[in-house]
Amino acid sequence: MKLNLLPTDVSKAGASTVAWIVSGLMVLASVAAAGGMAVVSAGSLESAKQAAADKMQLAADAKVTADQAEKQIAEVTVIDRNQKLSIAMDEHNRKYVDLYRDILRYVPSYYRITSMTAAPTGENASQVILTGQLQSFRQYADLAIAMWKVPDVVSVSREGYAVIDPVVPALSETDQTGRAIRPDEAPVPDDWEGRMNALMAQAAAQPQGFQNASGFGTQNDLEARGPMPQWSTVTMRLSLAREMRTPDPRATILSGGSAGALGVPGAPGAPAGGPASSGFGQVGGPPPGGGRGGAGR
Amino acid sequence: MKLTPLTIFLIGISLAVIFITYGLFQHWIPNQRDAAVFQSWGSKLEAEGAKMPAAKNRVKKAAEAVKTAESSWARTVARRTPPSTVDAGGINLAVDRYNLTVDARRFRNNIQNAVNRQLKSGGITVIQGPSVPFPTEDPATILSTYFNYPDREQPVCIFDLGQVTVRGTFEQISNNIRSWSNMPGYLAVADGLAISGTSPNLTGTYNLTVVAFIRGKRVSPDLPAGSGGVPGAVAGVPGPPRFGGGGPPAGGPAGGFSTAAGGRDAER
Repeated sequence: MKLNLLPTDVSKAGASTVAWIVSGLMVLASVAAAGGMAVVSAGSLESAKQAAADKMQLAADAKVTADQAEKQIAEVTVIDRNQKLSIAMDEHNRKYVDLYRDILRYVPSYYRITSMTAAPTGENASQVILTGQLQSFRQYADLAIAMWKVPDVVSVSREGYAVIDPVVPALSETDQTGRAIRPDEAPVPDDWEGRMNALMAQAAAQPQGFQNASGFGTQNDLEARGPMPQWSTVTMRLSLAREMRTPDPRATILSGGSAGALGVPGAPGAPAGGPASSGFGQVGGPPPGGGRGGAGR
Repeated sequence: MKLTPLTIFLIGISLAVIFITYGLFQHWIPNQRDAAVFQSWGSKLEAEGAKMPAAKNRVKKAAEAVKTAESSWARTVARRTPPSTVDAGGINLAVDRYNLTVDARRFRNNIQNAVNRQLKSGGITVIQGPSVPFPTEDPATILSTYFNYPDREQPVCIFDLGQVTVRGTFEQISNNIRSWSNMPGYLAVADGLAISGTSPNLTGTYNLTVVAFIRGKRVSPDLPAGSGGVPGAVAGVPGPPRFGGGGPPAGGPAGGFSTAAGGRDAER
């Protein structure tokens, strides 16, 4: 059996010494680690900053160059817009005449036109309205067929013809034959005396002498000639797939519009070959200081 | 009081944790985070810097495009814009505003003469001709109201002259309409041609718009606020804005006119 005869404070003093030494070492190590972390991380930050600063100049130079290109492109855009406007205006001066000429090639000679108008109805769409005179229902039909032959025509509509062609009437007590008559004429009787009287009445109703109708026979050549007796004024409406919109200089120039202005070609884009979007200016300035107010770092 | 070894050990651990925590949270993590941000920013800068060859190529192509456009536009300017002096039938916007009010009326008359001449081309008879609007007599607003400057990149007159009525054969009216494409000194567009009547006395009506791009590199300066004097005679009047208007007018010489080149003008 062994007995520990040393006082209890002797062993505790030794253990305390060891504890102090170990604790001191731990504190020193932690201080060294903290210092190391500060130094190393600061160095890393500085090197990152320096690297960014080195690249900044190159990026700035690239941006200046890109801005120079943008400035030139903006300049050429204005010039090009004006140039295209001038071309569009000059070209438009021929459009109506060319359109009318194209249509007149298909207008038959029996249709005497007294008015032609055209108007754009949308992008690559326009409407032409022809007003004129013709004599018969047959011509009315043939005219519509002829108009369908006009290039780029999409639809044709007609109106205005008053049918006066002879029609066969229903039989009646006096007319057992059904001879063709005009709509405004009475049936021709079958008996010879009644028929003679009817024909005499028709002849008496025919125009006699100078009628002064529709400007015909007058010396006023400036007045448009209307329909001759028993002719009709017919209106033909043609829808065409044809661009007739007018360049709008005011909208194009004053609003800076390009493609938006009717009939005016859009301003050119950037010259080909360049990047679609340089993206300059999106990088922004350097990052903030991490929210620590780290001015001193 | 005697500290036990365990207590001492705990004190040491506590102090160590404090120091390490301080180093970690006060330095390591924030610095690493900032470094990462700078690295990211640096990457973006590097990407931007890498666009330099493309940017140079873009500048080159833009310069070529400008040259081509200017060459093409110069031909239009030579034929289809009014001369640069009033005596030649055009307008010079570099004179002071008061003289400009006088010159603008002469310019308007010159335009009216040009329109009248052009209107008779083709051999038609004019039934109703258009009238060119008169400029304002207000020197302060004449540039903006009549020449649309500095609202736009360069001074330009736009006249919506309304309906024109002429009489002639179809050929004459056709030639008349087409001739607006060759109007000397001005751009014009005839729109909405309607023809009526009986040949050979057809009546043609159409709407006419005339555009005059103004030549010249300089415009007269703004009138001094509250001054009734002639701007050109006032010392220290700011220099004139130049075409292309890139910002506030620079301080010009006493005469008020800047002689600096580099502005955009209609001649280019």
